Amino acid sequence: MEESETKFIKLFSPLKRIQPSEFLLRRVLVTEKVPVRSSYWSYVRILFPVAVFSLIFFMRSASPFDSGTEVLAMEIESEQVAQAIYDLDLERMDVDNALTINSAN
Amino acid sequence: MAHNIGDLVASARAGDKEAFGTLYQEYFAPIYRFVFFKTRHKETAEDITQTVFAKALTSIPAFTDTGAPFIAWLYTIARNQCLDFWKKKQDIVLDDVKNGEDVWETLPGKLSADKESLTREREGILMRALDALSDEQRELVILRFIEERSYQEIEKILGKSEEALRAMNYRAMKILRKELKDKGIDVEL
Repeated sequence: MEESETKFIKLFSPLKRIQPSEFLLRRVLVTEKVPVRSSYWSYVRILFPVAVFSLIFFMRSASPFDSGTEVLAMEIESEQVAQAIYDLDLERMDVDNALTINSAN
Repeated sequence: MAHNIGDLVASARAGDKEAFGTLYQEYFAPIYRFVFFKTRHKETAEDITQTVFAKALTSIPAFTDTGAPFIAWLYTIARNQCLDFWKKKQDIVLDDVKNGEDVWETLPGKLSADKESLTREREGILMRALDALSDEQRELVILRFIEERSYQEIEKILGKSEEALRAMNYRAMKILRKELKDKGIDVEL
């Protein structure tokens, strides 16, 4: 590069300060729907705290009986109770029948 | 820049908008400056630069790699858009477009008030000195002295031989030296 050119480059270098505003850059990107890396980060910045909060909320609100084992145990228990009641009913019916037969005789 | 421009251009041609977004971020400022120094009007430069990239986005699938830098293609679109602008807006009063008062709004205010004032005054003189040049000379000066492009790159952008460009630059420097000397700036110092 010639010496005189170097002087002109140095002289004109402050004009490089002229930059488009960040607002303009974003406006065009939104208008043209061109994705930019920074916009992904803005999504992450918003979504990450929401995700963490949701997880904590879900964990706090979850009941200890909600676990699969507990539910199965409760179902078995209630089936056993139902069976016992049914058996009792049968016994009572047997007693009723016997009493009816005896009174008829 | 960490990205390979060739790879980004190939991806953008294949429809990868994220790749185009990276190219856009890389080249938006130099294209904006080029258009700004040609129009000397902030809003006009903004509008034209937007159009340049909108056109680039729609035309990039048809872009053919001739070995010229990608930015040369963008500069060509920008030059054509500026020509279209001047054709459509011939009724604009030249002073309205060229006063460039609001350019300073785009500059970051990191300097002290006194220094900022002096710098702005000097930059104003430099910009007015560009007015003494022909359109072609001005384009060459912007690309060579402000954007610091090589003659090989400028050859592709302006479509002139290096020899012709060097001759044009010699004449432009002569004019600028005189203009600046008249305004108190001696380039030889």
